[in-house]
Amino acid sequence: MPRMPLVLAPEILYLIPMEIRPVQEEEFRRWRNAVRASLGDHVSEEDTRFMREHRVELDRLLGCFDGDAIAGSGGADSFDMTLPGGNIVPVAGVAYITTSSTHRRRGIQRRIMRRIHLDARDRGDVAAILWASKSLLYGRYGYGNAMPVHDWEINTDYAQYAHFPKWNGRFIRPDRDEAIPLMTRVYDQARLKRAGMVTRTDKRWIYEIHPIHSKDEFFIVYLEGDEPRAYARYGFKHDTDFAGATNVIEAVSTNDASHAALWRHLLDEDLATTVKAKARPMDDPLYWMLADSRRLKRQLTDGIWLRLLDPAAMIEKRNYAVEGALSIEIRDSESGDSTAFALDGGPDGATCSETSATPDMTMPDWALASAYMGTVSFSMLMNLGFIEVRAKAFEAVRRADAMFRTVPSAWNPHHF
Amino acid sequence: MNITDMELVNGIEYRPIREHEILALERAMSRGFGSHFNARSGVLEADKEVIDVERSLCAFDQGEIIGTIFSLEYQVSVPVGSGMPMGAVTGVTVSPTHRRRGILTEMMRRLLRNEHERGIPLAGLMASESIIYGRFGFGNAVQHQEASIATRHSAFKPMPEPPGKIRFTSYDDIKKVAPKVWDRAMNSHPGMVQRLPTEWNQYANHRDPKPFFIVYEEGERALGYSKYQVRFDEDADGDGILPVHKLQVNDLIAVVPRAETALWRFVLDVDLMSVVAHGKHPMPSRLFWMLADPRRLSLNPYDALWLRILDPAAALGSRGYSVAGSINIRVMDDFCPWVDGIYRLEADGDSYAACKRLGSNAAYDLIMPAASLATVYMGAHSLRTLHSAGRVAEQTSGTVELADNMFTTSEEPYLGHEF
Repeated sequence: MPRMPLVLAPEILYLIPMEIRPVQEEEFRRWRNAVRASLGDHVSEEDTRFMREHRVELDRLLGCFDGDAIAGSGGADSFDMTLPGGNIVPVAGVAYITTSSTHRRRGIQRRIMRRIHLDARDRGDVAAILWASKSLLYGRYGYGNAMPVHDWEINTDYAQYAHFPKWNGRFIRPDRDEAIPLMTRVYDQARLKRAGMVTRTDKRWIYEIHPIHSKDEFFIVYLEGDEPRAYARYGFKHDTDFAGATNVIEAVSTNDASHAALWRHLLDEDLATTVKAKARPMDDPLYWMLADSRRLKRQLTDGIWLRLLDPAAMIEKRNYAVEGALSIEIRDSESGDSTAFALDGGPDGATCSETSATPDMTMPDWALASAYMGTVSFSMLMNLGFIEVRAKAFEAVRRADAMFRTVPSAWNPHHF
Repeated sequence: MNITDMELVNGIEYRPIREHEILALERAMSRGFGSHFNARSGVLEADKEVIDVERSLCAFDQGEIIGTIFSLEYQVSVPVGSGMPMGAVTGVTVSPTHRRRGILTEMMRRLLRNEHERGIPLAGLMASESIIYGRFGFGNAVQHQEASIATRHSAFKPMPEPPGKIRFTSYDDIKKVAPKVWDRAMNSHPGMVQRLPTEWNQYANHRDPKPFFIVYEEGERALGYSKYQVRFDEDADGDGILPVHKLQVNDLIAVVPRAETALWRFVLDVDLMSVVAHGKHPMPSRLFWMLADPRRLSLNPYDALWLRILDPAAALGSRGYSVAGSINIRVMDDFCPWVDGIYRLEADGDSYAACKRLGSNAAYDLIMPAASLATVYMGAHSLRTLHSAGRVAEQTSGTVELADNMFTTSEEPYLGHEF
């Protein structure tokens, strides 16, 4: 009788014990190497040490251990995120999600995501956010494409303004160390007013612009009096000796005038024939200031993905553009549980509680997460069949669109 | 004197063309757009059907046409309202021999005056360059996107299976089916214009390559259609193994969203195609939300419909608003001075809206140029964003936000046409 090779069905592989647990201090280097190897990089010891000191929270990092081998990884950074209307809530900034090429197709990512979400809820995080390496990955875990953005490119020969709010401040070019406190001040002012923005700690600032990560970075700060109102971090790439492209890494402003001033400055830099910027808000006023707006080439991409961990808290903590009441039933992608919530809210606040009444709308969690920040309408998701509407409750969908509308659109410049 | 009558300004005569001058108009337009007119192309015969000489206005220098402009009359869909007449401005050229003499300005002023005197409340155009028409009070009102996707990465999220069927159809049949679908689709898309019968007559005259027509039906009811072309480009070396075969969607129009879903699935699954592109893709894109891997869809927005409000009271009073509100808007307009004034808009947030002109001493809450009002009119763009860009000013605190909430719409603005 021929010997059969031992082949285990995927269902069996799930049952092989692999331990998912927080990473220990002495394991951090190995864990970090495993994460980066899965993403196609080698990292230096210096980089790893620097990351340990300035960025990560060890008790939020998970490894999936198969004996000594690190089969998968995941984790979160802690942030406070601003919601529409200005309330600030704790969220998990999910990152470091990898599965070793040696351990594919065994459900490791699913188990790690589940564990991250349970841990985050225990800590009091009401939502999780992430930047996705691929847009295919996270819908299955309840994430919605909540904050799409535009990548920009413009030829500076065609970048005149036709309209703009007036400004009367000035610019300085600080060096790296001078720039950090000024940029921190701008960032924190902007963050309080902009839905989607998250905290960036002092240590994280140092990590963010340390030469390991950004060795050719320039800084420009716009001041009104002595108060910093806007900044940009950018690089410059020479195409020839006297021409090249400005690559805006981050541009943050605190009001309309400083936004107009900052972009005028970036578009007028000597030698820059092209200016590029990634992940700009879809409704950025720059487009509407340009005399020849079509010259601003915009490419849509998915930005931050949002997962509601405590939907009732998230619904209650945001403000709504107009007064209204709604009931929404949400189906959790991971647990399969359905819960209905009654929302009564407006510009000054909202209440939300579980309800046993028949809901106006029923939807998967990712759909509510997608519409939560107002970047996609409930109407569109209903049109596509992702939202079921109770008979005769179609008016509720229109009401939801008006209530959840958020201007300026939610936006998060912080990468993690 | 009627403004369309013969009149000389700085030695240039402005008047409508006459029937026998259509060939001269075509030649002047072709030169203005940088090409030679080909009398054998069939364009002349086609345009004779479409062009209404009464709505043309050309500039003549000693009998020779050196500037062209004309309009068509379309019905345009507005948010939560019925159709409104719109003067569709097109064929706008000035000869390179007559630059910088104000000829475009003079033609445009007269054309818009004529539209107004005909009782047309809106004018619209598609711009060759986005820098040109803001100065004449046109606002960038509805955008399209250049869309393309590798079919390999075009799987949908789990979603309901459309119950209908798709069939190929003939040129003769599509001329009957498509206009009915189009007209019904207009109801849910502010900015869509009703194509003229003369345009539908020429709908299948596409060559190079000849298009395909498909219809989505549930039972006998046609609920959507698409017109697309297939390009077998043996030289475009896609992945180095197979050439790029591209399916170019010209139209993909649906009365109900499930028909749109079915039509997209169909065109994305046509055998041999590696790329599907759509140059008039809506913004926002439903397809983006259908896809399991949305980043694979390349989307580049551009300005499609530039709108010009010629009668604010009629225009504002004929659309619906998302929330209730009363607001006084001062519209600044030195190009069409009859527009300039203060308008009171009242809406109950449902179906009722009214707008009337107030006296010039009335108090107002918002002040904006006519172009800004046009930009927000179709509900595609936010008044608050325009405020941030310095294009709207607020006299009464909170009214930008109120007006913004009123003007937004749950409908998805779209133009879909080219003119």
